[in-house]
Amino acid sequence: MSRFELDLAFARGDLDLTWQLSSDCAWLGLFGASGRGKTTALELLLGWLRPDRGSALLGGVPVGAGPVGYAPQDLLLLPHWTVAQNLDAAREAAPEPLPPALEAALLAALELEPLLARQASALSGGEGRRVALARAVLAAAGTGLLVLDEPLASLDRGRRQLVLGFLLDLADWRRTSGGGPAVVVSHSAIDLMVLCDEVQVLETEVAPGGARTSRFLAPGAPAEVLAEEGGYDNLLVGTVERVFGDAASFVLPGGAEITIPGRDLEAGDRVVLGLRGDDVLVATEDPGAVSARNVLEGRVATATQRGAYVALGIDLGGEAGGDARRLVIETHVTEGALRDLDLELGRSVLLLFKTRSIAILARR
Amino acid sequence: MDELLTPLLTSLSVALAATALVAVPGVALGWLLARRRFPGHALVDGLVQLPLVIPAVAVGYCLLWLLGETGLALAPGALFTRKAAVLAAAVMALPLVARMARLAFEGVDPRLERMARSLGLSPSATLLRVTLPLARRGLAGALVLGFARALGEFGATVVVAGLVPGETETLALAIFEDIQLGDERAALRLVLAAALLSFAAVALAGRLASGSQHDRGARP
Repeated sequence: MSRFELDLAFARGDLDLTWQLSSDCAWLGLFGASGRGKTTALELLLGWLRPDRGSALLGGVPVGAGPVGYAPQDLLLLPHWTVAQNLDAAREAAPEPLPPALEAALLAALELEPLLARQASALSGGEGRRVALARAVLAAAGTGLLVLDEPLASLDRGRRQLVLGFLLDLADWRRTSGGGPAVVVSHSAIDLMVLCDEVQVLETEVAPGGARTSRFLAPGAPAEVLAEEGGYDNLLVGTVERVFGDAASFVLPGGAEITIPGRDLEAGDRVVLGLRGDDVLVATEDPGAVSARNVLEGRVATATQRGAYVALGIDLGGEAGGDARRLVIETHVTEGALRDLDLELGRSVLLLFKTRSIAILARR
Repeated sequence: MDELLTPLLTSLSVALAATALVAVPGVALGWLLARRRFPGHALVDGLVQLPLVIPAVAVGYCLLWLLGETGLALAPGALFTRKAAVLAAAVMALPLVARMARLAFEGVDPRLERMARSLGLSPSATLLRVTLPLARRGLAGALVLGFARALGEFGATVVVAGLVPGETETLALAIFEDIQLGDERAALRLVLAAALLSFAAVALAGRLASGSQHDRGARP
């Protein structure tokens, strides 16, 4: 199987990078702020840069020796060729062709038809980005390794949704047809959350002189990464049930239904919601009529001191024995509130939050 | 009129032949210096540049020694013929062609070649389909400058090829002879012709070099 075995060390200028990974994750996300060495890491992975020590193996062979579709940030379209020629080269390089339906979806999502006859050097930056993405997808079709460096950056909103939708279809196809793995770099945790099975965070220490020491942390579930890095203490992934006017109903993993902002949503959309702990209120008895649309029952499961406030984990229950479906929502209260409300562990509480406190981070 | 036309034609034909002679080795040397790191890289680089900095007469002396009976006698019969004039012009043009070709290759982003390789192109296909087409304007400019250099060659040519009218007497040599003979008017005519020709070649090289900016590709 296509398992990553990476052990890389690389130092140049003021960057010192180490990367260790042993994983058979199909879609791996690399997350970190810009300018911290993510692109360098990708090119070490591909063998475009020679590591000072170590190796990058995929399925036991050096990554660069196998078929690869790479969409770099600087595009690297062959400028003297037309767009069609650039894409044809990728088709020839691919281990197997992309199924016609997916290729049609690719050309449509990226609006490539009008560009095919153009010379690559005559494209604008945004157009070139779309072509480079298509070339990578075509070149990696089948068992090739797909490597995307910020694939959704600098796309406008509408096209972003189209391309994200296409990439999700592509991911489905690659997973079900025994396709090769993908590595996606992004500084947007949300994109990685939607696309990837595992995310590795690039942690960087910047010394006063500007020297950067970067290393990849152990891979983790995208939700945890997003929660930590995106400022959203709670992430809710699920499906829109119904849409009514400006609002929609959404069923939480534990079964409770909540109301979320419904603009632009349709029933059946998969969405990722973000909710900050500061925006969730706690009550110990039913307050009666409140303006907040969402009132959920739960029990205090954890309490963690975080400087000026205490983070409470409220367990909303769920199916017995099904830990994966248990939902814990984090809320922040002051120490005073903790005392006054007597919020000890196991205490039954109500959680209240406004529809408008919920951010729709990603939808499909 | 033949006093102008004969050396002009001799010059053109010697310079063209010299350019043709150095085109492949000059471009190959330029590629090697731009794209390969090998033991002796600095030595080859230095040797290639040598004719640019040492007096042309010294180069002529070296060629004389290589070809003639007094030295290695590689081709004594070629001395004081058109062949020797071409060889002298070629040796003097080679460093310029190699140097400009090196710049032309260095102007091609090596990451584009990486990408071509990752798309399955062989090293030779990458060279033929990516590197050479992207460097073509710079390479054409290198050849034009090499031609201009060959056209103006004097020091090495006079040593190995002499002043044989219609055979080895180029514009530069003819000017020298007219000055020696005190024929200022004839010298002036030849100087103007040489200036015009060289100016056209350099202008053409400049045009080609500035045109090579267009092929850099889409950037984000």
